[in-house]
Amino acid sequence: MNAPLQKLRQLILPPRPDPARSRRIAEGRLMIGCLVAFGIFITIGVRIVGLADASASTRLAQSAAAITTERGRILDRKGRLLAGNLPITVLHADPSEIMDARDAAAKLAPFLNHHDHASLIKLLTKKTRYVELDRQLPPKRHAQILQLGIPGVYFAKGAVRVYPREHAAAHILGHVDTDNIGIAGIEKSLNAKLAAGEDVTLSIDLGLQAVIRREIQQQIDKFEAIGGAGILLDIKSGEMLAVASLPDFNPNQFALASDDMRFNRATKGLYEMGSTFKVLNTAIALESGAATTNQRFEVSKPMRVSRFTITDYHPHNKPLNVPEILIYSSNIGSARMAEAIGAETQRAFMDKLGLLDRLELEIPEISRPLSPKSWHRTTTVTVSYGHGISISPAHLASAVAAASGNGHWIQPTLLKRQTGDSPLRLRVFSEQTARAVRSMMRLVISHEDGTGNFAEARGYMVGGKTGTAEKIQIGGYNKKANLATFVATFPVHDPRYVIVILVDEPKGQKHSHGYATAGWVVAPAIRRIVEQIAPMLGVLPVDEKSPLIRQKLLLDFTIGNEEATRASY
Amino acid sequence: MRLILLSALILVGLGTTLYQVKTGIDERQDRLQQLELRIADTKRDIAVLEAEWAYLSRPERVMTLSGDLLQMTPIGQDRILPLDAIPMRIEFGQTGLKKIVFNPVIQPQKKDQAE
Repeated sequence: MNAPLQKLRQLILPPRPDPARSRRIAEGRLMIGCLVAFGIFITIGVRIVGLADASASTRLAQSAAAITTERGRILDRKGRLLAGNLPITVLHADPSEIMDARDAAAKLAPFLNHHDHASLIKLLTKKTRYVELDRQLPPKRHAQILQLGIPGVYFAKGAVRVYPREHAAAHILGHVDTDNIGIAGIEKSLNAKLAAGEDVTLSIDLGLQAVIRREIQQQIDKFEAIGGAGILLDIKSGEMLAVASLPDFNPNQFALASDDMRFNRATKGLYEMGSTFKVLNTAIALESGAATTNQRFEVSKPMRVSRFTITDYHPHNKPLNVPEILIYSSNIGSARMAEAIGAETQRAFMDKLGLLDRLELEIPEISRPLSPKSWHRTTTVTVSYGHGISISPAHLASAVAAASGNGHWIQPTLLKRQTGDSPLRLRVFSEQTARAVRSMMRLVISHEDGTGNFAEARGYMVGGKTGTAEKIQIGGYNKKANLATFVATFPVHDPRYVIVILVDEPKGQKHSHGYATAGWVVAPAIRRIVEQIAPMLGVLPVDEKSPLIRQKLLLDFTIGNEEATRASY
Repeated sequence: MRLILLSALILVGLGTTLYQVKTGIDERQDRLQQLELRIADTKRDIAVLEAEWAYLSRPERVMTLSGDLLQMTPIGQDRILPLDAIPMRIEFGQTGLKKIVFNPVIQPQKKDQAE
C-alpha cells in the first residue's frame, strides 16, 4: 500500500488502541453522557415544578380578582334584610377599539334605554378608553347585545346597593354614592366595617318600625300636618326599636328626595317639647326633695317672671298637688315647682339626662340641643314646661326612659346589643321617684280629667304626657303653628318601652272639633300603636284592678276631690 | 455501572411523578376555579332572591294585602289571655284519666263603651 492511502485510512479508522486504554476512554465517555442526561433531567424537573407553581399563583390571582369583597349587608334585629347588594351587568365600551362608531351606535341604540343614536355616537367617539353605556342590563338584553358582535363592547359584572324595604327606616340606613361609599346614616358612620364585607345588625325591628311609621303618617294626613317623628325605645337596654321621621324617601331613588324628606326629624330635628317636659320637672322635684307628692302649689293667679306672664290653659281656683299639676298640665304649677328646685339643681339634672349635649347615636345625623348659656330665673321657669330648650325626640325618649323606667339613664343605641354588652348606665333618679312618676303618667291617661285619655289602650297600662307647644319663629312664638308631642311609657307596672310621637304643625279639623292639641292629634295614634305592638313585643294585657298590679303603683294621690285609689285608674 | 443505571431509573421515576403532580395540580386548579365561579354565581342568585323576598315581604305590603284580601285586623286585647287564665277540667273515666277538656265557658271581657 502506498503511504498516502495509509494516511487516509488512519484518519477514518484510527488504529485500535490497546484494550486497557480503550476501556478508560469508554468509561470517560459514558460518564460525560450520564452527566449530560442527569443535567437534562434536573432541568426538566426544575422547570416542571416551576411551571406548576407559576400557573397556580397566576390563576389564584385571577380568581381572587373575580371575587371582590361585597359591601356588608344591613339587617334588622331579627336578621331581616334592610340593605343588600344586587348583582348587575354593566355594559361598557372602549371607543379606541370601535371601528365604525356610526354603525355600532345604530346597532346598539334599539337595545339601550338611556341613549339614542346621536348620544351614542357622541359617546363612542370620545377620546377615552372607557365609556359606560348602561347599567342593570336584563339577561335578555345582555344576550341580544352579545349577538350583535360589536368589537370594543364589553360586559362587566357589578353590584348595586338596594334597599328592598323602601321607605322603612330610610333615615337610619342612609345612602351610598356611585362608588359605594356611605354618604348618610349607618352607611356613612359604619362605612369602614361595611366596606370590609361585614354585616351590621341594627336595633331596629322592621315590624315595629312599619306600625309606627304608618300610624304617624295616618295622623299627619288626618290633621294636614307638615311632618312627624316617632321613636320606640327599650328602657332596659337603651336599644331604639323604631325610629321614624316623616316625610321620608325611598333610598333606591335617593336623588329624587327633597332636603325636607332627607332631614331626620327624630334624631337631628330640635324642638321645644312643651308640656312633655313636665314629666322631667316632676321627677327632678321629687328626686331633689323640692316637693313631695302631696305638696300643693298656688296656681290661681297668672305668674309674672320678668317680661313673661305664665298662664294655664284651664285655670284652677285652688292650689294643686304634684300629680294634679301633671294631670291637668298646669304651667303655673310647674313653674312654681321649678322655682323650688332652683336653677343649679335643674341644670345639673338636665345635664345628667343628656339634654345639654349631643346624643351619641351611631349615625352622623345628630345635633346638639339649643340651651341657654346662662341659666336665669326665666330659664328655670320656662324649662319646667318645655320652653327655652330645644332637643331632639331621641333626647326626650332617653330622658323620659330614665324618669319613668327604673331611674337609670342608659346610652341609647341604634345597633343591636350583643350578650355581654354593658351600655353606659347612670343613676339619675331613685326607684321610688321613677315609680311615682310613672304612676302619675298613668293617671294622665286613665283619669277622666287627664289630657291623654285618647291614648288609653285597655289592658296595656299606658302612662304618658301630652305636649302642645307653639313653634318658635323669628321674634317670638307662632300661635298658629303647633307641635303636638306625646311621650308614653308602657306597661307602667313593669316599665319596658318608651314611645315618643311628634306631629309637626297639625291643623284643627272638623272631626277634632277644631282642636290640634296633642291629646287629639297624637294620643289616638299612641293607643293604636300600643295595641298593635304589644302583642309583637310579648306584652300581655293585664287586669288593672287586680291587687298584683295595683301594688306595683303608687296610688295614694288625691286628684280633684277624690283619692286616686277610688278614681278610675 | 449499576449505580449509574439505578440513578437513571430514579431520575426517570422522579420526572414522571413530578409530571403527574403537575398535571394533577392543573386539574385541581381548574376544578377549584369552576367551583369558585359556581359559588360566586350561587351567591349572586341568593342575593337576588333575598332582595326579592325582602321586597315582597315589606310589612307595608303584607299589612295592605292581609287587610284587603283576608280582612285581617290587629288583634284586640280582649282576645289575648295568658294560659293560666284558661280553666281546665280533667275528666276521669272508668279507666283512669280520659281527657283534658278546655272549659268552653270563657266570658270575653266587655269592650269599653268609649270604643
